[in-house]
Amino acid sequence: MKDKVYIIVPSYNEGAVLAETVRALLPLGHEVVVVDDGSRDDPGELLTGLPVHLLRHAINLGQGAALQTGMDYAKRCGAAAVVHFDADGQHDPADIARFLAALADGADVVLGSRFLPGAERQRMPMAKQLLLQGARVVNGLFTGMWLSDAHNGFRALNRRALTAIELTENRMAHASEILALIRKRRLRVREIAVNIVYSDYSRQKGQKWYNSLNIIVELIMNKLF
Amino acid sequence: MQTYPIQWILLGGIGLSLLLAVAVLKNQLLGRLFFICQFVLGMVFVLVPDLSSRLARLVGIGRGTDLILYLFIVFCYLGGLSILAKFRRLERNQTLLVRKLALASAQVPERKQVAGSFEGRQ
Repeated sequence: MKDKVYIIVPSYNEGAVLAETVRALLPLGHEVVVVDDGSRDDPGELLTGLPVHLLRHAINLGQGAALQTGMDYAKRCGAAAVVHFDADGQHDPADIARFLAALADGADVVLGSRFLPGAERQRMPMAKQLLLQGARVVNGLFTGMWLSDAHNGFRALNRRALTAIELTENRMAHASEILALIRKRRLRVREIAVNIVYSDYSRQKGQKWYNSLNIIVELIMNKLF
Repeated sequence: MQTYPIQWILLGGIGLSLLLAVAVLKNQLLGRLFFICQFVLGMVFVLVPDLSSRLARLVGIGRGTDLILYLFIVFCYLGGLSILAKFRRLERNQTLLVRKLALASAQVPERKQVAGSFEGRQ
């Protein structure tokens, strides 16, 4: 049973941090799928000797596309569940067990939340907190899903959700698209508190505030076409 | 009806554009109809110069030039949007193609491959 959980790690130009993240995941005993989204350097060299599944996009498409590629792969391999896990080391592998427990408890989709009681927001910048609250409202308006957090990349999906969700938003708007699909397909959703570590690396790599405008435009475009 | 050289020049240009647009838009009936309407309207306005003025007064715009300008803006937007929609379709196809390649050339950890083939034999 254990090897039927696939942890999908989308990666784009992450460099050495990717190998660190993967090393932290391997002891859990699940399958680790790294989806490289057309990075400049071959991630295969960084991951040499590590027992991971490696998929490579020939060109850069975006995180949403990378996740969907990973999910298609996991589906083919007969995965019972998948976990979305960021490559930059801001998620805690120890949380994964609680995600899977929530799935076992009847949820189809489990979303990590940085704003539920019990979540530690280590070093989360104030501006980021405000931005996330704004994103939460935008998501609510667009998707009808009112959650405690928005655009959190830490998720778990069971087989039912895996077959029901097909991401077409290649870039960051996929996070809202997932919520819309959860609602449309009537999947049972649950939020659990997660600890996010905002390292200097992830802060520097993370979303810029103005990117949220791009996400809104992408959402509107998706509604129109 | 007296004609001026400029009318023939414009008609020739519009006719050529129409042919090109219809040829470029292969098998897209809606797009073709859109461009055909647009160019035919242009030809009519060239052939009957005061038609635009009469129409403009009818719909409450002062000058025929203004009416043509407004129509131009609307057509530009519609044309731009249809190109944007085409881009999204292309992007979708590109994504599917890249995904298919990635799945076909997936690197599987060695120990798993052995386990997989063992299961296959059972």
